[in-house]
Amino acid sequence: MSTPFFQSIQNIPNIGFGIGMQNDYYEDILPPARPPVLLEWIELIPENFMGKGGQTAQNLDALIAKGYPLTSHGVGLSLGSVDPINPTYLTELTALFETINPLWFSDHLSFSSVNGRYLNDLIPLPFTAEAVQVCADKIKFLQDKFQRPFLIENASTYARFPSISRYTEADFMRAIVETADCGILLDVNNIFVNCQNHQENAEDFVAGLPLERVVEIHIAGHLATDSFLIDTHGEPICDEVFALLGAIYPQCPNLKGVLLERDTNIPPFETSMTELQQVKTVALASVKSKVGSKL
Amino acid sequence: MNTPSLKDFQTLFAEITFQPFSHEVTVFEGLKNQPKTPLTEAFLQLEEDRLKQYQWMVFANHQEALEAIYPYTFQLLTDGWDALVSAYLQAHPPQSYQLFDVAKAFPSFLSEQEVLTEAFPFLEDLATYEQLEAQLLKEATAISTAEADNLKNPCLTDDLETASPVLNPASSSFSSFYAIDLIVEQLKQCQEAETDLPTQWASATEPLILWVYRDSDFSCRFFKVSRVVQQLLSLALLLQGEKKSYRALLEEACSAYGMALTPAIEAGFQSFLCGQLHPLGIVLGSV
Repeated sequence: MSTPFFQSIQNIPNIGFGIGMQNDYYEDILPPARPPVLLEWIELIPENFMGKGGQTAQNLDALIAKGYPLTSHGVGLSLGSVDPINPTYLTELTALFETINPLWFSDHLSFSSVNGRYLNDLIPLPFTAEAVQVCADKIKFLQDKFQRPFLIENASTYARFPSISRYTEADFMRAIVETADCGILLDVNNIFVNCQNHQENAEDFVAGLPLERVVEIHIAGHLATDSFLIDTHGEPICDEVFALLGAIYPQCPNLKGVLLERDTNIPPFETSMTELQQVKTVALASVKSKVGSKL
Repeated sequence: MNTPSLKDFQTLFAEITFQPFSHEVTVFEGLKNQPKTPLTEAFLQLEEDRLKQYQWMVFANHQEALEAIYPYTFQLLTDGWDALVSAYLQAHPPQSYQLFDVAKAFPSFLSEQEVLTEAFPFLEDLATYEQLEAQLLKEATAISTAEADNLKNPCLTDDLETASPVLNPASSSFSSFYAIDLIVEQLKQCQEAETDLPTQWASATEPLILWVYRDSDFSCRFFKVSRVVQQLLSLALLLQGEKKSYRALLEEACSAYGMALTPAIEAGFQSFLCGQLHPLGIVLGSV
């Protein structure tokens, strides 16, 4: 394959295993005397930095000076909305990218605003041709504007709309990424959460995806309630999600990075590093076992 | 079957989600009264707790943002907080991806809540003060390093005629007829001691005039100033680009209160500048 997207990721190195930046972790990451050797890269949520000065800006400058590869993972782009992308958002994102120069940027396959009203959360889309076009048009615009790869993440959902959908989730994602010629950020925990919540099969979902477009993997924990699983990013990763990681990791030939997400119930930095080591061990062991099984 | 438009789908999802939040009330109530269409049917086929989860998530995000920006107001109104936030979101539907902007109208909304303002007459001013602090903490403005390097120490010269002040750009004035500074202190003490709210609130003997600023440690601080100094600092901040001299600003500030600038006022200001405004980082220096 030699589309502009595949060409754009050719020169991006494999950056290994990283974490999403949390305010609580600056004191562990920034001091020169305590380099967290396991941590290879860092992902930033742009909305936490856009248009902000003070302590936030100072921390960001110090983080950039540490030299970690950085990526941007948005929550507020509202990719699937029928509304156009908010121009102020774009201006602020542009300014931030001039500062952090992310290797790639991503957001969720969802919407968070409509008719000028902001829900400020990740709301699911129906899997329709119109939604494919709306998302693909925005992604094309974004990749053109920022001249770097854009990835869409499979969002965790608590509601499906089968009676008005025309695709499965995997086909929906495939249609978008192939129309827009962009990449995939595959969230392994979200696959597990969705399959549990909607009685679907993870293997079928993964088999339906163009895995050659997966550039980044997210992994996190979730909360089990009586009714369904909630993607809290606030619990340790469960065994089933580790198993999914082991199954998916060797199947993604253009994978550049794996990220541990923790956004609530933030544990001490050392605990996150221990969990990141587990993620790394499972991922690397899966490659070895795949090579072994071939032999 | 026709596929509903994406706009109709998203509009209906938003309507359901923005219904007044309550753990008890069903989110399907409004839907059941609408004409049967493939779209309404698609929602009615869902288990209700799944839609409720979205309603909760959207509500909780905004509720947490309001709590973070207005911690003392929250402390004061904890009992009815959920209902209050729900009413606020009905009156002011979120129109920004920045939660700080969504929360901007909260002080004026509070001023319209008669029962609350009867119990806490200072409520709007307290929330306004909290909003100002939150704004200054996140304020992106800062003077450039080059500009900072060129600043002169205003205490090493008595040249009020030609020198102009350069103010900390992350600063602003705040005025109230209530003793907001003391009320905040009372609330802090209650929080630390985990005690009930006071039955008596601190009262002001004169209008409170504060200059609120973000210091070099990125903390928000306030400093009581006179009305003339407040006027001078506000003018200096507003007219920063014009590089007006200290004396010109002092003259304008005095005339705003029908006063003539006298040598005594000038000397008093100079002493205040060197003793407080400059050491505290409110006036960063002179050019």
